[in-house]
Amino acid sequence: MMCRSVRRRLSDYLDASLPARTLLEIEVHLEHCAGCRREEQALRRVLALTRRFASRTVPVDVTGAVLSQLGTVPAERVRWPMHAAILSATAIAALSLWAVTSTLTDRPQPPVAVAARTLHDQSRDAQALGSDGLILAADIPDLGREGWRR
Amino acid sequence: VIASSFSATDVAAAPRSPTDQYLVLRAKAGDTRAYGELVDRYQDRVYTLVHGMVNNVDDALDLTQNVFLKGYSRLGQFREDAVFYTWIYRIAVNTCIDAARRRRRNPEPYSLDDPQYADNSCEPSSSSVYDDPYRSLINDELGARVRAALSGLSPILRGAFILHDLEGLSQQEVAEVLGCPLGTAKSRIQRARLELRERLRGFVEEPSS
Repeated sequence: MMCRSVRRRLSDYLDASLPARTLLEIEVHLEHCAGCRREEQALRRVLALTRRFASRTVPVDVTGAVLSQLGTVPAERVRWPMHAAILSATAIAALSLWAVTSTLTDRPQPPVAVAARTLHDQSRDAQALGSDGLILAADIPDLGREGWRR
Repeated sequence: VIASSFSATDVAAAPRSPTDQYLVLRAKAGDTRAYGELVDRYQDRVYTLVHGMVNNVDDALDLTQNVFLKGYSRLGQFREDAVFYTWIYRIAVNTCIDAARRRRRNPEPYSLDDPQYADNSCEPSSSSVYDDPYRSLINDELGARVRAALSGLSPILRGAFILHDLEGLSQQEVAEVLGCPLGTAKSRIQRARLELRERLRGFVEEPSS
């Protein structure tokens, strides 16, 4: 292996994040090449120095400060991304349509259709009340484990 | 549901050295002491990362506190299969980026009273054991050079270097925290090391024989 390829791989060599054969080739090269060995040693010293001087210990009690404020931190509400909202709205519309048609034809309704109608009604109520448009996971009705059977 | 599944007696039954996953689960259930344990575990590491990014003690302390408060408020978004420290590091990196953006928009005037110009809080603890003042002086000088070299890196390289070489994250974990491909993370780590090697040339090279 040439010096140039060895030096290009020295960082990965220090992390041992190269194939075993490449690691071995570099090791063999370093045994015989004083210049590349100096480079490798210099990089090792850089890491040792930064670990020694740049690692820090927090000088005050962060844990206490954080704990004293935890009671005042509200949990963030999950804002649905736009594409998820569009997909959900489409699914709800399709299921609602299906539920209406199945009611007209006197067929049994799957739990998912009932849930969709509930969610649709909640959404309409929220709009009427001037809600901020956020939907929480808790707002989604539990569909249960029972699958729909015709 | 999770909250009701834990009771006060569970605290006594908790493992002696609970895993992060266990503590996160308890914290999600409203156990603030469990979250305090997580803060205790990671405060130095988060502080090292944040200080490396902002290079100012007061800002680093405020931001470190904010990182953990944000973490608590976002526990509901923490996935069961996630790793707490990569998750909290990601919040830390994003918090530092936001703070840097804010500072660019509203730059503060430089002041000689700024703690960064009189920052001695990060001296290695071993420094005090030196009886030889000359050696201690060299040690202080070397520390200052190393920190200056690190703060001279671009934030992108500095973040990758700190996460990998100071915090001990794998290259894959660095990529996850920084939200970049593995190859990009590897390249940033390598460039940071080589740049530091250049900046510290006089301190890390042995004279060639």
